[in-house]
Amino acid sequence: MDVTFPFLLELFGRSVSLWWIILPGMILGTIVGILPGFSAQNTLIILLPLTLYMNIEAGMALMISLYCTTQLGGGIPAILFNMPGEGGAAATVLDGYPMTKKGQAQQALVCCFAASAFGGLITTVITMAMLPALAQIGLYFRSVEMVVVMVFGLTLIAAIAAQDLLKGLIAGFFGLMIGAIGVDPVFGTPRATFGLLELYDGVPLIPALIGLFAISEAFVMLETETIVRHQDIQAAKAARWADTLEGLRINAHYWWQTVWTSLIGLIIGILPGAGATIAAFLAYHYSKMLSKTPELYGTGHPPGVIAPESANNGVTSGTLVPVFALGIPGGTTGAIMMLVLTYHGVVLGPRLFIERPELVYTVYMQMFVCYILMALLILPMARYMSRVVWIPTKFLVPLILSLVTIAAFSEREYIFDMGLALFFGLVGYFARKGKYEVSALLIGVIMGPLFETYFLRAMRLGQGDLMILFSSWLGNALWVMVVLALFLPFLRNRKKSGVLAQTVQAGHES
Amino acid sequence: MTNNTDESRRVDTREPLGADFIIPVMACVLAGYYLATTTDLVWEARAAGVVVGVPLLAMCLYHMGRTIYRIVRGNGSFGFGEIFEDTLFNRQRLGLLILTTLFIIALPWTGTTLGLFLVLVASMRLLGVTSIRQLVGVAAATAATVYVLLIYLVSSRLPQGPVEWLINRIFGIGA
Repeated sequence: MDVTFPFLLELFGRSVSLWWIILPGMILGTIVGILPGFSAQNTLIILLPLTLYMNIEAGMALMISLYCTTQLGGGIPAILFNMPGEGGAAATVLDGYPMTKKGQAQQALVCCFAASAFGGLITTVITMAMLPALAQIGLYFRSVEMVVVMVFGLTLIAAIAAQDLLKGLIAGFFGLMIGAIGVDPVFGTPRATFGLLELYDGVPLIPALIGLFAISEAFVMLETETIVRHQDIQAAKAARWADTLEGLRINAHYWWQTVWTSLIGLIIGILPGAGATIAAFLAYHYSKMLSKTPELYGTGHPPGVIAPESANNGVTSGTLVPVFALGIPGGTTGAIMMLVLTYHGVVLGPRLFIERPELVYTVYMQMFVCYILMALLILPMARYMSRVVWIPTKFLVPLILSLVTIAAFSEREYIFDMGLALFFGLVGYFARKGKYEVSALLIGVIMGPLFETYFLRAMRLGQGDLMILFSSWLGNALWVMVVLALFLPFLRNRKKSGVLAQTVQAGHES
Repeated sequence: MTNNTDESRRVDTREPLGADFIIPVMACVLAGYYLATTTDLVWEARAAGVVVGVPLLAMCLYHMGRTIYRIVRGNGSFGFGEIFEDTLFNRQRLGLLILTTLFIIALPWTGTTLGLFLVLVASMRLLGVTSIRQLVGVAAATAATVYVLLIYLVSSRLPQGPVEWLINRIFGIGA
């Protein structure tokens, strides 16, 4: 497919015409970002009945706009109240809050918004330019390679995101095992269905997602009370427009910082398991390391806000790359978007670039439009949004629990699925309490049926010989990467002062 | 006597590791059940389950063995820590679980709007909201939004009950 300027222009026009869905998504995303504990993933899950009902373009526009602006919104409480709204904003606290204490709250907010918008814009354009190359991946990844890619993805999540590699692997394989429930794809014989007819088609993914992620999080969330001190709110209200212009000037001065830290975000976003938190801390670390004035970091230095914010928005473009190119989600947000696309009959993975390349470009164009609108609208409006009333968990938890339970109904319209979501909520809760990586479990569940499909295809090709999995150079290279990923935690633990150890630790603490 | 009292008052400082067993036990049960109930199937039907289940069992057994070793060496206990303790949060969690289960069971009779309203009121009350205005206001606004968005506009097949029936009769919807 030729990507011409008129084609891109047409997509741009179509994306702009969805402003009526992008704008509410952006406003909601900013609010969600501001509210600690109310993650983008939870909101995307609550909105599933709507996004599944909408056509693909509108549904994706809503999800993309919400997801992108959440990263921006998370920086607002991080700067104003020393309380990151999202994990990706945890590094923003380091210099954002000291800027507030120095009376530069508005400058810090503008640095955060401008870096988020421009960082996201840059990485979106770069990803769009990379798409033709990504389309070529389909020529190299066949069933054998796909099996190894899935194993690699789960290993990487276990190695990077989980605190304990073995626990991460147990969670991922447990997820794959849950994904193997249902009738077999060849003869239609039920396997491990516990005699439940509703499980013959396999474990429905949306109730599993809702339970493992949203319900379990709600159960944990009730232990905290989100209350902001009165004087903090008063400080946030004291900002002036002159400070906004000053913030823009600072941001323009550090434009190169925005560019290269957003690229860190893009690369980290593509990797499974390594999300916005790790990207933001890595960007902060390298920004400080390469700075001529590293001693200023931590004292309210603007690049300490710009670096993590452009990086966490750079992640948004990267997150969708493995979903589109390989049909494998690298994190929870990618998993949710993958479910919505699959629900609409979109076959993800290498074939997508052959069968529906325009869909991939449409999604990235929507992201592009969202970041432009973010720069134009949210930048001046966001200081008012920081005055959003903080919702205590005694309201949040019942709302999340009841709404996501209803959302579990949307995929198959079975009341059984609502109960199943509650069951997975308990599994997710126990996993969280036992420090098992829930995202590895969830991605295992999602990849289970895909794993079986590709594995069976590979086995048929090899006439039942497992050695087929070691028969291609690309597959073998990926196996080597699997082994290297298994050693990553040991290297990380040996160098406790290393950047990866510090960032991962910070990620777990945030 | 005094020694015994002191003994009973001594706080167990060992790290409670019981929670570490919950997920591996669940995983072992599922993998064992899968492998045991698919022995008669052709290899294609059980290949993926075996390739995943056998390493899963091995990893779980290794992890549980490692944890038991830590406990035996005195570096941990079989306790579950705060998970099953009689605390306010756990009582609230259990209450929410029961309320949500009741909401799901009663849904065919209450319908979505009324069921959602009731479960929200009960859950918020359980978590300490006392203001009647807040309880009714938040629950009614949420239930109304869900009705308008999901039942009226999206025409989802969410269970309908007396409230939906009443609204349909009053406004002649679906007539």
